[in-house]
Amino acid sequence: MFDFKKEVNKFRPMTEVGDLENTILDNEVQDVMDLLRITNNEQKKTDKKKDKKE
Amino acid sequence: MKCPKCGAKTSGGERCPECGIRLRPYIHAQALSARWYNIGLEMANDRDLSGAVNALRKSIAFNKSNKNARNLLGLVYFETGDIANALMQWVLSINLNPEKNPASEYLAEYEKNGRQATQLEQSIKLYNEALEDVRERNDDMAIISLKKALNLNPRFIEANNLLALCYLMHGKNSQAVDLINTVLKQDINNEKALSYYRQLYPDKSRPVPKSYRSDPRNSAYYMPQTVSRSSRNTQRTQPVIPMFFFGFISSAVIVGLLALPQLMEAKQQELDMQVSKYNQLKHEFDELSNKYNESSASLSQEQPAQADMSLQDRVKQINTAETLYSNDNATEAAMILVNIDTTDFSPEIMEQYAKQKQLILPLAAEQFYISGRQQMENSDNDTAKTLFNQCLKCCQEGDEIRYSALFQLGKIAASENDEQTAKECFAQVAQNHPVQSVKNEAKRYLEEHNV
Repeated sequence: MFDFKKEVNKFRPMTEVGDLENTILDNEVQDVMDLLRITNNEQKKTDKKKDKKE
Repeated sequence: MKCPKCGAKTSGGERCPECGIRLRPYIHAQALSARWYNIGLEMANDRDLSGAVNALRKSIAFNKSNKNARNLLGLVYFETGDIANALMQWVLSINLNPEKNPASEYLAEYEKNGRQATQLEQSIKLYNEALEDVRERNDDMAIISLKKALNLNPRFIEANNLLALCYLMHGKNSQAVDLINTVLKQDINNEKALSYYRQLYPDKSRPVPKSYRSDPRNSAYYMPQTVSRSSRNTQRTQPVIPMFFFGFISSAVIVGLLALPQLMEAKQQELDMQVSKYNQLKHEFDELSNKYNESSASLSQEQPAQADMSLQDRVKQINTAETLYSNDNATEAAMILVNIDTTDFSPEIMEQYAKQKQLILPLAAEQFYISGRQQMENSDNDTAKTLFNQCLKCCQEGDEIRYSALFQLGKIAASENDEQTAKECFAQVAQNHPVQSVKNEAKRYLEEHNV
């Protein structure tokens, strides 16, 4: 009925509150808005290069 | 809205009047974030905490500064006992939106109740310790830690689930069911609890949850967000999805019909292989059962020797059992205890003997049961039968584990076409097992075999 190993593997250790500082510092928060900003900047750089060439 | 690049106020046009970047993709991302937040809020109100976590994580993936989504995600984590993640969401929320952020109140409240906070943090430590113990098959220690964790935080979902799993593995189904029900009341779509429920009650639909909208804090702080105009584009695409599935299903049916003859042939071949495998196994089984009969005959010849043992030797055996038990060998200790002949024991020795039995037999019964289940999973039914029978020797009438072992013995007998034994086992299970679904399964077998 139950595959014990398989079921146990579904459980993960939880972050303890003592480790919270490191977790927050490690957490480089990015979202779609960041990605859009990055692509936008890249686009601008390539546009500038094109303008210079022309 | 503010321009995400330069911060200038914009009137919602195509481009920012100051820096000239295209605004539409940003508006779209914000709208999707708001939409996922609304879905998450709805789910949190309906006590679908797992669903809410997924939706809210998507919401902040589209817009990390969505204050409401992040704060609500923190609350949901807090509710499930995942305190560290809750605190992290609130801290990040304050960093991204320092002004007028309810997360500061949550953090202040948490810090104010220092004792309670320590208890919640301790519960996570205990859960992590228990998880390590479970992985090393130190189930007893794990159960103790998990019970402590739940004493400190009864709403700790993962601790409830892990304890339920431990109970299931020990054949304590009714205790597991109580925990599963607790989790499903708290988080109506909890994946682990639902999977345990389905395995325990394959024929029964899950308990219907009542709609849960009682947290006044939620309704005060958390109102649905307005989805901006640009999200209409995504709404327009929605009818395409059912059409796509309709097309997909129709194609699958046509492909299935074309492939049916080949599938039938493959199935026939598979069936033939299974039949020959069955014959081979039957032959092996006959050989093994002969061996088993021979060994049990020689064992029964040895048993009278026990009866002939001197009183002193028999008393010594109680001490041997005690030593074995203190060396973590409860099963061997139990086997010695159940086979001791107590004739002529003085009342003091009888008392010592009874105490030992009370202490050792329940633990041994559990260990025999677990080993039996493992052997069943390894398809070694003969060893499994021996272990379940040893489990029965360690149980008393009315013990749940006794009827769980009988249920497994019944299943083995049924798979070996030993109708008589199966009927005897299932009859006891149908009458006495405390879990209704197990009872029903036993009853169904008896009905199918006209008992």
